[in-house]
Amino acid sequence: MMGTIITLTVKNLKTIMRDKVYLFFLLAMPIFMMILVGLAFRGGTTTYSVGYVNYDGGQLSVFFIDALENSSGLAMVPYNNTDSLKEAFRQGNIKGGLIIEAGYNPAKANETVTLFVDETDFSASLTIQSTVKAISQAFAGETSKEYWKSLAEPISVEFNMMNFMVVGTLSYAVSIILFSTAGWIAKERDKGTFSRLRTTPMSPTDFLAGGLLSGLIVSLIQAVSVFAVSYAVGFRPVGATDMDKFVNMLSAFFVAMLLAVASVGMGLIVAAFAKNEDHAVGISWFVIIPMMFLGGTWYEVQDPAMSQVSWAFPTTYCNKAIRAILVRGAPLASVSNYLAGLAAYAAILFMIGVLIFRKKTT
Amino acid sequence: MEWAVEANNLTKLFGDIRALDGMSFKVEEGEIFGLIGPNGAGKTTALRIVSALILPTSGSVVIFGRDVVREASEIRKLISYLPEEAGAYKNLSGFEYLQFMGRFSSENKEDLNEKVADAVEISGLGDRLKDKVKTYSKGMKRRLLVARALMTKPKLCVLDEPTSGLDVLHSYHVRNIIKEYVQKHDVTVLLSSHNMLEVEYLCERVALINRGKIVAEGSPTELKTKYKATNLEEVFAEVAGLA
Repeated sequence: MMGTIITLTVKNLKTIMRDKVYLFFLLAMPIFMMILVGLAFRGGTTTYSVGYVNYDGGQLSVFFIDALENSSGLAMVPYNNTDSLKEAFRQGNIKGGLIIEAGYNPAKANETVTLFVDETDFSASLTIQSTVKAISQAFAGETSKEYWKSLAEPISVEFNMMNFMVVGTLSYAVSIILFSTAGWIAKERDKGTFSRLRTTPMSPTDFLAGGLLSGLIVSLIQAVSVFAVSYAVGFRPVGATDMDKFVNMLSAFFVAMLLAVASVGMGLIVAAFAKNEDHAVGISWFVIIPMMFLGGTWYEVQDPAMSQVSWAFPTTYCNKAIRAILVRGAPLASVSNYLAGLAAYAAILFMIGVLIFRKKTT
Repeated sequence: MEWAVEANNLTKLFGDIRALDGMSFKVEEGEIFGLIGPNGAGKTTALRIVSALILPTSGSVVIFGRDVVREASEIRKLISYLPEEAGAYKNLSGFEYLQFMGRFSSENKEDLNEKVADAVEISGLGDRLKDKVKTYSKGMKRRLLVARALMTKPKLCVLDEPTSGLDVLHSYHVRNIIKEYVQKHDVTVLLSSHNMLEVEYLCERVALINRGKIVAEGSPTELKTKYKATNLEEVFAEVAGLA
């Protein structure tokens, strides 16, 4: 049996790796996406543009603007007048606007400073308002009261858009094995090669095990490739030492492989119902796209009801687990709840895929 | 005498469509037996049941004493099947394809090498076996697939329209392969065709099928004599009521 499975695995890998279309979707596209993510988000901490008009022009107001510019998180953009400032805000070119009137006085900033922010961007509005408030208080000589104390040993978190997107791109890369699984099984059926195999001593279980093994190998290659590119564009996993970082990377790979098993299972289900290869590929994307958009791949789902629905997708468990590991340095054991969910999904989906496949081919 | 194939009252329904309607036939060990008839007669359905790919609705098929429904896994060790719509993996070379398929029935590496060497000789494709299947013509693919079907030296070889879509030269080559191989290795062949001339050349006995039933059975010579026909096409027209 093992010999048969290995024979099938080798054949699957050869046919996948020599098919330019599959190679593009499985390897080139995720790598390309990772490069784009790196280029788009490699600035590190997110910076929000805040437009300003300084009608005062005095030294204090200039120092105030300089202090805001030097703070992390804000990029100050000058405008000539209030109308052009408001127009820039309406067009979405800036996330907030600051108007400093003549006679600026730090002690009476609330009489001479106007601030407005983009309330639809929660992160931007919070960052801008808190930064302007802190610097205004400092200029006014007020010390803000602390309502909490910090951890004696801070937990290191490397959260920024690039880290968020790297994890999402990884889970996307792995989950598209769903489409290649569905496609190659449907192709085997269309071309009559599966009928040939069914008349050999090979069993359907051998066939599926060979498909799973080749799918896992391809997913591993995808994961390594995407990680390599992410490292090249500046992503670094969290870890106190290089060994910790390495262990976290391996843990992330393990989680990704669980998602691969679930994706192969879904591919089997799709293949069982698809009429032909084109049909299988079409249905596959119909399954992958909701998983990506509602599984926390590119952003956190905001709507409370849909965030509950997102637990229906294996990508949700994968994204949460890998982000916890790579971005917050969580050990594998502490994400055991996500792992359990993902493992259960992987086992159930694969078993359903096997049962449906066997039923339809026996 | 143990029959190679005994099909008894085979019926197959696909929904409301009665593809096979009480078909019975027997194939002697070592003979080439043909199921012939027009498109949609039930030839492929019968062959797929014999190959343990689909289940009959009723009736039975016994191959060398083994029931295809209850002993399907044992049957698969005895047979080799070539579907009409068979394809090969286009991104593998012919040689890789033969090695891949040969592994399922080989006990060890030497056995595999011997089978592949047989297949190379049977196919007659020579150095082209190093090229990827996607560069092959239709005839070359069919020769490769026939070689694959025969290389395992099965006890029963089931061939569905073995020369379907081939030109004269490739058809000639494939027919000769089948005939020589059977004589050399005492393989039983059950084939289907709607090419009556091919059937007359290859088959020792034939069964004419129409609408899921066998309408005549015997050697080509017997049938032509019985129905006073010059070829099997005329025999078929007579028994199918088309004459």
